[in-house]
Amino acid sequence: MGKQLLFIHWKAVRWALATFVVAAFALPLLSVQEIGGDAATASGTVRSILGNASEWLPLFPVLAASIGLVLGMSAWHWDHRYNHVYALSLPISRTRYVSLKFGAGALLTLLPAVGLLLGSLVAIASVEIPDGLRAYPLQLTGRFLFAALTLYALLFALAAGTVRTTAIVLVVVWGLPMLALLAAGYLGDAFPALQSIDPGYWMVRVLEDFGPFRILVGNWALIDV
Amino acid sequence: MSRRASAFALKPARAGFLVGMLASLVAPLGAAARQAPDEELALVRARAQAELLRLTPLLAEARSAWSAANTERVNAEARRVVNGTDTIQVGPLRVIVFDGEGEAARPYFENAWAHYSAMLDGDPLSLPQRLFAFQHGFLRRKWYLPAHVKRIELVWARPAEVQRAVNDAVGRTLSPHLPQAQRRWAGSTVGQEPSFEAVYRELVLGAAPPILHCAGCSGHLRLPRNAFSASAPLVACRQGDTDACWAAMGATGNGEIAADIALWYGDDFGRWIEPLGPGCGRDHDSYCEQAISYFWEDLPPLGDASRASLISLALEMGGRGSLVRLIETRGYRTDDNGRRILGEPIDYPEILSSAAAVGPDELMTEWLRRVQAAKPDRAGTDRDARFGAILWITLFIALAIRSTRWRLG
Repeated sequence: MGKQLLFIHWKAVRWALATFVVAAFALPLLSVQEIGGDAATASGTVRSILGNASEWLPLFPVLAASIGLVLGMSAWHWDHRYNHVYALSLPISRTRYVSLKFGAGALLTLLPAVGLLLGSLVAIASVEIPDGLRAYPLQLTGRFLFAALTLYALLFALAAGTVRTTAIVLVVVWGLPMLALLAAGYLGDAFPALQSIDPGYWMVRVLEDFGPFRILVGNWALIDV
Repeated sequence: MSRRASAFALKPARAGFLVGMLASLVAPLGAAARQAPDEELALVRARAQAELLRLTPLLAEARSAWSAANTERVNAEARRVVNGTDTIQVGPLRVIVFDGEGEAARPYFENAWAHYSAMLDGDPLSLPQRLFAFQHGFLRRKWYLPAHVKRIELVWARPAEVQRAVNDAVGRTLSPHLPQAQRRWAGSTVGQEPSFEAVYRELVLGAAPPILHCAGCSGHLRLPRNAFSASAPLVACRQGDTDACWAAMGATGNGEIAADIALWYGDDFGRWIEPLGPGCGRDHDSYCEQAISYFWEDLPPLGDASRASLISLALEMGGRGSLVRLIETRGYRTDDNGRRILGEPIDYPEILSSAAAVGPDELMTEWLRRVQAAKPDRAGTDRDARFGAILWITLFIALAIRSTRWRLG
């Protein structure tokens, strides 16, 4: 049963997943490209090397979130398309069915995570890490995997629910901040109090303090002190 | 304020009028004197002198009254009631808050004042002259305050962030009272609790390279690979050599930049520097040296964060009166007139050990211990993040099981 669900999910996302695996492998290599080269002509401090590497850091959580979103949205694709007839015809409980389906997607997230781990290992093997710095391939991969799984679980839950529930959650998560932004922008002159509202700051605070997105912020550096 | 003083306050031009009157009296007398015989000249001079003697005290009195009236006006402005606001007093700190928010603001200022009062040991410098305005909430409200009020306005901040902002504001009022040498190390917020994790990064990575700002410069001081992080004193400091730590912070005891640069980065430092502008290149060492001498303070491998944290630690270790000792210790030799001898290096170890009331070696050992202990715990933070993620994943799976489109009938 699990194999069939895994196969169905794989079939739905295989091309997107292949792209993600390649990106996950390449990203660590790109982030360390400033390290190395001829020491006689190279310039810049360790700090600037890390600064260059940090330009790539935002792409790690973005990639993890993208993987989670694609897997989550595709998990229930066949069920919705055929009105859940296949699932309802199976002699198993919904709990078991959902668990197997989620497990199938979780297994698929391992592929880009393995790609990232391999890419990280190749990256740190290909450069001479300056004195005082360390490489964190396992920590980076672990964070990447859990970030992808969290976003996958969120979208999986949304897609499993009714359209109404999904719409409510999306409106609350995305709609209200956007509404506040628009209100501050267009009505700020008429209502000065609106200019005091800073939705961007609120969103950042929610990201940092609590909520499922907390794992997306934090230290994503492959090479650090 | 007396009526007389207010009159002067309202008409400050009166002082100028008195001066004009004095001049108008003396000028014709002087003109007459040019034409008069000697005895008349002496008489005129005597009369002029008498007029001067009579009017000079009036002028001084006018100036004094005007000054007093101005001071009174500034104080009255500070006491002026702004509609919808209240004022709280914490030690010498006076804080404007919105009505009803005084008690919420008070603990932050009490903590800040407790932090600094012991260091000042009853010598509050000019803190009473500084007025703070504080608001903290979900929205920032507008209020119209005099320009000299130090505003602390936070929106949806954590209590720790609010406390830090208040400490920061109080520290900023103290920093200007430091002598130049001490202020250079302490930064703008003396005694602020340092982030030793940031200092640890500086200990490993070296300070951020300075950005050059001079006519015709490239705007970027390019250094050899690992120049700052591989600096010999910095490496030795990381390994526990406290003398090297002092040197890495810039307290070398040298009076010449060339000697300092040789100590920090070796003799060939100059040839690695990219052209700073016309005439400065690898073949023009003297010009380069002159150009980078402007950035002497920014070139030590340990930078502002490290030096400020050392000052904070010295104040903390010194306890009562530490800030006063920091201010009063000169750290350089003076000539007979009490002026600093030109080119005399500043003895920072002496200044800071005086503030900390311990020896320089002991102070630096404690600093190094705290910095090493603040090494970022990557595994710990990742573990926390993973734990939170597992909780959310479990919740979402539960929701997915409960919420369904499977409906019968």
